Amino acid sequence: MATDTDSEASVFGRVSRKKVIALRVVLLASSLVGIAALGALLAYVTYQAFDLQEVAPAWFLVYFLALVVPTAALSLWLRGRPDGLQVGAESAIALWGGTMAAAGAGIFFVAVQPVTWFATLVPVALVAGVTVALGRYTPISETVRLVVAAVLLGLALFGLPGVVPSASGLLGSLSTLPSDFVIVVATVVLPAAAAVGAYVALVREERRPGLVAGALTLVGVAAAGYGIGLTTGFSPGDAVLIPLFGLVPAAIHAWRTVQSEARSAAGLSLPVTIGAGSLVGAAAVDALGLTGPTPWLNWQFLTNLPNKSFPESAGVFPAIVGSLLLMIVVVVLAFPVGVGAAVYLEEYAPDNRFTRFVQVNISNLAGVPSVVYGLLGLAIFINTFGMESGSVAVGGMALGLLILPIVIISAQEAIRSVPASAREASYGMGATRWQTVRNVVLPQAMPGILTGTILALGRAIGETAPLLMIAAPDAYLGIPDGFLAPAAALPLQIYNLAFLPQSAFRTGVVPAGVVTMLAILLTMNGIAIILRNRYQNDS
Amino acid sequence: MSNESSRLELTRQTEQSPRERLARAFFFACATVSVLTTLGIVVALGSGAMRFFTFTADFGNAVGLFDYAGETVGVVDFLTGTEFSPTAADPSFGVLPLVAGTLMITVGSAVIALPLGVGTAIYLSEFASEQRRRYLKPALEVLAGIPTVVYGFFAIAYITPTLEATLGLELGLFNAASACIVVGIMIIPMVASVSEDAMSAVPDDLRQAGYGMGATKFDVVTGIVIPASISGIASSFILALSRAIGETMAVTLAAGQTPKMLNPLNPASYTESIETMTAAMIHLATGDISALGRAYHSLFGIGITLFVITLVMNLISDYVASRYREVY
Repeated sequence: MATDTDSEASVFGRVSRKKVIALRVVLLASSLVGIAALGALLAYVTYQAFDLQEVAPAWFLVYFLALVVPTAALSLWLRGRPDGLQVGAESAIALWGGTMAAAGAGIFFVAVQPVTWFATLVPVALVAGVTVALGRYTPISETVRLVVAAVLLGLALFGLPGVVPSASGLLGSLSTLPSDFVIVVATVVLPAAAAVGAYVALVREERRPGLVAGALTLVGVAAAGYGIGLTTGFSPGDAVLIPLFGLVPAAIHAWRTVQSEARSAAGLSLPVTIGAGSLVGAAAVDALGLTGPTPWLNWQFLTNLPNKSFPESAGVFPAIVGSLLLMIVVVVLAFPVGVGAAVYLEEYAPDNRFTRFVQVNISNLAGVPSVVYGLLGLAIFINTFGMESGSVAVGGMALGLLILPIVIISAQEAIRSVPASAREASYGMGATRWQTVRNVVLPQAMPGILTGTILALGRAIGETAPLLMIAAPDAYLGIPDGFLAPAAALPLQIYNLAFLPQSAFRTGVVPAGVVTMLAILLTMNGIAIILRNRYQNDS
Repeated sequence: MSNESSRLELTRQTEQSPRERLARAFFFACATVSVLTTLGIVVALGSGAMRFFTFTADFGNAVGLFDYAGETVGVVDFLTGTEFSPTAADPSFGVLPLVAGTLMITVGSAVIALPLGVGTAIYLSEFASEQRRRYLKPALEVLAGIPTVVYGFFAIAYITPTLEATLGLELGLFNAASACIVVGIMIIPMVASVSEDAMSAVPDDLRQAGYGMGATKFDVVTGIVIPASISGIASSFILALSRAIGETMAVTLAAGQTPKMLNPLNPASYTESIETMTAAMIHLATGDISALGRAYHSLFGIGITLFVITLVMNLISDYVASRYREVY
């Protein structure tokens, strides 16, 4: 700045942009250093996980020409279309995330037997039906209805110990039970088909298309699943999950895109191009006789039991099952409690000392080191309440409390972004506070809440320290069979494998585990980012 | 739904109906869970730590608080001891070597993360186009989203060998330098996002006034934006350092498990294997020690020290952010 009076003119003359340009370059570099370092690390770990060392350059060239070039060209072209690239990314994530979800559901039925699932679900559904029917067709009061529902639920699940057997116990001990295929179709596919039907009916504002879509989903998924079961090694009960999760969400997304005037349906060709490119690449490599890599990260790695002595046959299946069960506990605990707390703080809480204390408390909890949550689980849940050390329930509770502040804070932000006018309109029509929360605030805030919850879940999946503190076991125990059994988790498995003496573990098995975990995490982040983008565009 | 039933519902639902009260009670209970969590942490750490410290000696009888009769350790011995060897035949429980280790990680990661984080924040808030921000911000979030155990593996498997090859350092399998680098990378986004929020909150009028006085962009950034957002930047530093102090898996994997008193300001210390407070806790929890002895209870002694340090830092960060904030 020119402040010297005697040399003012000359200083003005010498103002140059060099300093600014240098600053700009330094700042850009500093924002890229971390990203570039992580990028290099991730590239190298992927390289090791897929063991790309021995692969001939021609192999890369074939896949580059068949897969990368068309995909990149298509992406460039799609940028010129309205929402083209976004639609493409959405449909690709829908297919990929759906496949992951199908795998997750299949793994769930490994840990929880379909029969157990059936015997638990049917009584619960019956109780829910009775409760709704009581409310609709009898004049009994709300309070009585809730008490009746609670008693019925207790009887259905636990019975009176020693006097009345529980309904789920009775169901589970029946001599002729439906097959796994029938159970999965009845308890998973049927509700999903009903949801699809309801959604279609809502969008088209007509019942008939909804009924048709629901029926088509049910029949189509069941038939496709049975077909896949017959032709591959999957049992029909598991196979039915593949079309349900893998194809139905992508199909709905495609249908909505085609219907929409403002979005270009051309983006839907992106996943098709990727799939076709992979097939063409595989065929070309086969025809040319090029040897591809023998990746550490393969089907056997994902489905085998761990092995400390032979890296070639080591797997992570029990750890994946453990991680999935942990996530279920975390979601069931942290989502309702976190959203509930956020609703209380934003919609109900008076501005008094207690509220401010809760708010400060939540932001401080978010900064508590994760290892301390492990100590909490160890001292309170295990030493005081006597729960089994290392069990899924204890681990899930510790992780659930760990991400609770994150869920609350993100849900609060989402709720705060619902315009006050929407609430005022609801109150003005005579709605009560709960009706406003349920019908106005939560539906509008839900995409934001879901985004925050998915990101928080990603944090929970990667946490290791709390699990070590509560003495979660190595995966060598085998596959956990339920929520009260001790179970390992993927990050824990990585930690334990990193110190094994054979170098193949460090150069092959651990990278494969790392890539598996990062693939799950990045898929979840991708879904969260897409949800957020859609949501921001809408509002 | 018929007209009849909807009218019934309208008249039946008031703020005092059971459904309303139930909803309110449920939401309130949810909010209390967070308070209970804090209470649980305080009770868990406090009772464990009390068993560890010498309340027996202070009260002059064999059985102190919580009817715990085992051997204990003095608070002063714990806080000023310079040796930590919980499983030795003649164990000593001085927390200072662990604090020194934690301090090294904090200093080392700060050297990396603070300049890069502030640089990123300035770039994002003052220079980057909307398009660049849309790609940079999610990419930065990924840095914070990678599990820390993965960072720890990267440190021992890739970063240590790279450091040895490029800088010609003599490093062991475990060393503080690689741990500092990964912890630094992982806290960059925290510095960047909090600082950037503070810089974006600086009103445009101030910048325009600067330009009107003939200032260049360089002058505006260094003379107006940074001073105006200094409280936010400071609070982001404290938050990020508190995160580095509490960081567990990366330092457990990469920095090793040998407690040492080293000078954090001497660069040569960073080639050695150290142990942080968090790593010591993992070590104690996974090691083969009796669940009743002093070694086990030292877990809670270290835990409460760590908890208090991070809590104080978070409170200071809140205080700095609110006390020195320029309100526009």
